[in-house]
Amino acid sequence: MSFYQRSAWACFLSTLVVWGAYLAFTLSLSAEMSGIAIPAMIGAIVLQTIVMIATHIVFAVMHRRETGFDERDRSIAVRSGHWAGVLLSVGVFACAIFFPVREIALRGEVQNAWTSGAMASPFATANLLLAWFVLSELVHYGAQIVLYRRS
Amino acid sequence: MPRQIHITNEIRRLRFEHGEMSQSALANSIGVTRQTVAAIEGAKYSPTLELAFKIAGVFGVPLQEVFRYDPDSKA
Repeated sequence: MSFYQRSAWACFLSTLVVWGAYLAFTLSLSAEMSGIAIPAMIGAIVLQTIVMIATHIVFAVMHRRETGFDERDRSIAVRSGHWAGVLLSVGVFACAIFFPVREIALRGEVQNAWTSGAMASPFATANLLLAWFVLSELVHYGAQIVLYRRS
Repeated sequence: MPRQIHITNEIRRLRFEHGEMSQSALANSIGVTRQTVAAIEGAKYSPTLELAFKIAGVFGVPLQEVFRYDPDSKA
């Protein structure tokens, strides 16, 4: 496995674990507890940053003789980035449609932090956009893993 | 399903004929990773024209002696 192949695995797994845990945590919050999400988000950012730095230091030591980013790496990055970009665009657009639809469906019922408050609460907007971003990043790194094996 | 590549190559034979040159040695001389050389050799990845010329240059042979376009190949 090359440095960038290992890097794709590290990014995929850390994103899945850290942001998966964060999003699962926010889904369990009641409307009154939504303020806890901000420290949790900061904690997730710090945790993933530490994991990424540590893993990449280890990979850099393991691959110190390896040539840098070559044309195949670039081709894989472009293709995976394209798919992730398309998914992110669809997600952002879907988010813009989601809130009016949700409002009609719920008819003002308050269930938890995601479904409470105004038509598009900052909490729900931020976390839904974040969830799409996490999903697009998983597709980004997942596609890299697949493409490194196939091409 | 993997993308069909119709370009075959003789890199493995040429490496053997050049003192059993390793994939790493070839990779270092053309500025790519060993995994990229392995992918090209296994016909999983088609190199750019520039890289193809570099590979031919290492072996001191014309480009068509390293790479061939074969529409009937099943890579």
